[in-house]
Amino acid sequence: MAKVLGISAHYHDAAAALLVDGELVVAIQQERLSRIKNDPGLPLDAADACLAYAGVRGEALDAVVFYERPFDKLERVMVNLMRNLPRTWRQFPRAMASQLGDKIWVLDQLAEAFGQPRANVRCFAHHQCHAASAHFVSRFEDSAVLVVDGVGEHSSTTLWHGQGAQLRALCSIEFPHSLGLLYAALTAWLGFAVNEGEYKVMGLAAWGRPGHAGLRERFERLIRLHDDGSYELGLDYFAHMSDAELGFGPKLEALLGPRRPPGLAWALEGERDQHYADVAATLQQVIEDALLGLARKAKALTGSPNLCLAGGVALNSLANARLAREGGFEAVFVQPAAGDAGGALGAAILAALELGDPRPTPMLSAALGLPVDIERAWAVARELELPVRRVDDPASAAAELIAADKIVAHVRGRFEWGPRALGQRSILASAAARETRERINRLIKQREPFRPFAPAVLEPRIGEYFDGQANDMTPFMTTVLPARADRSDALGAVTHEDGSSRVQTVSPAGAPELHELLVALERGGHAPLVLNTSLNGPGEPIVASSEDALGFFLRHAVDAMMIEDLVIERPA
Amino acid sequence: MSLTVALARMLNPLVWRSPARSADKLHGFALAEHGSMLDLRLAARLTPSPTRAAAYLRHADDETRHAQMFGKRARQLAREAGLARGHAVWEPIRADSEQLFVGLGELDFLAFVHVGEARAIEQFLVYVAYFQAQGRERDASLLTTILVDEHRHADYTRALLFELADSEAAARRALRRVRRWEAWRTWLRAGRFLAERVYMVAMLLVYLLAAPLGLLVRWARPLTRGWRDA
Ligand SMILES: [Fe+2]
Ligand SMILES: [Fe+2]
Ligand SMILES: [Fe+2]
Repeated sequence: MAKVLGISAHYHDAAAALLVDGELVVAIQQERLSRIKNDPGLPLDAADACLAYAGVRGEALDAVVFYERPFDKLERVMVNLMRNLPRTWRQFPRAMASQLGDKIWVLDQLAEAFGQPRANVRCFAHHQCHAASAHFVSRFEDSAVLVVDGVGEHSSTTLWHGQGAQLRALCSIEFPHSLGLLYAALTAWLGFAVNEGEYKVMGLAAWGRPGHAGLRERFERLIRLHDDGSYELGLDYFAHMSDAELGFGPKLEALLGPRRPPGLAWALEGERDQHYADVAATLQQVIEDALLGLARKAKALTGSPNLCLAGGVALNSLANARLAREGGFEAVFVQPAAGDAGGALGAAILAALELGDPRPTPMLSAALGLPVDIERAWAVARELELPVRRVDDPASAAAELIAADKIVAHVRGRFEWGPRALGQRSILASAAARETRERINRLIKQREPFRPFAPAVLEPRIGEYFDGQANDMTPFMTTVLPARADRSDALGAVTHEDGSSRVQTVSPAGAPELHELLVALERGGHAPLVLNTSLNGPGEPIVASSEDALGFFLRHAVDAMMIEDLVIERPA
Repeated sequence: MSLTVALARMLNPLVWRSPARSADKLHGFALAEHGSMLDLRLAARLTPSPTRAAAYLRHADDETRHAQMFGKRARQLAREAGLARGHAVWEPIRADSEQLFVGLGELDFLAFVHVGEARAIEQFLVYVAYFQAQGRERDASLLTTILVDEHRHADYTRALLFELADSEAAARRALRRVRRWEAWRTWLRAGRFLAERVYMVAMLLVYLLAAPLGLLVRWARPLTRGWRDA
């Protein structure tokens, strides 16, 4: 019976997760507290908040676990710097400073921060943590686990076999061959920020023609897919061995054309931007084909009926949907924090299992963060002279606002784990009208025109609006389903260019407050369906505290905000 | 005339000499405003007083707006100057938070913010005069608009500081303390700047000395491809 704190940090998206007696009690990404998007810094605030939430003192922890082996990582970085002499001369001083100045001391820093003897601070391999964060919180007794990201210590792709409380490594593909780094290079080439713009690339893909004008053949020089499921990058086209920032070299620009200038407005009707969309679409297709090959290999090695995915690439909901359709598995599961934040969870589980705790029960909800302090919200809202009032039935109040075509900021329950807002910190609105989407974009999000908004639907009603069933991924929005063409009346604001929707199915266990709201909508004679987008301004982390929420309300023209049973309506 | 004012006056022609320079400088302001927004949001969450939380939130909202205004103007100027697309001006405005509220405590945090706002007012006034003399109405009016808010910020932080301190003397002590602390920080930064240069040179030497290792590594640790069994 142990109390175990898992930590991920230093690359991107730092996080902390706390397990008590084998159960996940609380998990928080550092960015939600520091308010710095994808904050990679050592997540001491997030860890302290986890401990405070659970009422556990740092000294009372049985283990603190890091999601990576610092010295293995150092070795890979050093070997790579040396191998790529003299191209790495620019990177060398910076890499050495960050490795030797900070990163290799992380275990000592953690021991000191939580008052732990150094022996209680341990670490597991990066990909092992990813794999653990997927299999052990899935509902599967037996699963094939596929981990695909940029790179951990050495591996960029690994296969595992999860059986009950066991996780066995099968095989790996090593850096510098990496699907994550291929995706990152193309993200940068398209003019988006790496580790942040990947969703934009996926959204853009729907507007392009995969393989148009020989693009697929050109991509074969970038990446070759082998029959055994492995793949190989055309390393000459990339620069991730010598330039951590950009990731692609001049040869790639010669192959695909000049990179798109960052920040330029999009005009998809024009030929130039159509080309960028075609490249995004081809990339999406290649990534999906590569993942299907890896899944085939995983199936052959494990014979398991189930597949778990983890690593940054597993956040590609389009690809996950294709794996679910064509991967040959009965069920596919992707944990909501599939990226590096999830490593904190996996690390904690691995240590808890070693300390004799049972495997955690399946993860049903991503509401693993902190709740808001209602009294504080009330007091600060009053000080801000906002028209705040209390209601008896917040779900009905929110439903009425949405039915009246209001855009509602919805702050109820504990904030989400992972990059998706799942109703606890969401902007909600009617899903029917296309204009709603334009309004949200104009007033708040300022998104590129090609990025979709997602719907949330009452789980039992999913078949009435979408072609498909609820599955292990739909509660967490890690997959997509096709929207039913005959229901376009109800889905105008939430259907993507290619007819898909990144739909969230809502159940009482997954998102109780949003569930009540959808039930109230249905009771009022409306479709049990809302547009659901994250509660944040452009470039900001999703809202966490009541102060963040009120700050958002000051800045962005949503029509109303619900904070638990408080309602603030903007005077017309 | 304070040192701030004298320096600002002296450097005016240099800092604002071209659209490219001006874009750089305004982008720097945008980052500073963004950083101060982060600190104020954090302060709003951590202060025990709902009244002060509300004040910090309003202030943070102003700074967000300022960051956007400076950023927008910086990009306009960058366009005029034809600054390369890779330039920092084109990137999203993203600053780091120093978590000053945590580091300094609320009293010194207020003193720090007050001192910063007062200095910004002094500088902005000098810039406005310069812009007006140069006929750069657009930049002058941008700063004049923002100055209205900065005056409010300087006033309320001073009022809160004196309210929160046990005595007037304690408030003044806090002001002196953060001025000293800031001077010390500037000194450390200058030191670090220098140390970083020295470090770079040293590391490049190490790199040159390590060159033979490069060949060894290529031989001893060849790249792998395809599957590797666990
Ligand atoms: Fe990873
Ligand atoms: Fe400002
Ligand atoms: Fe200010």
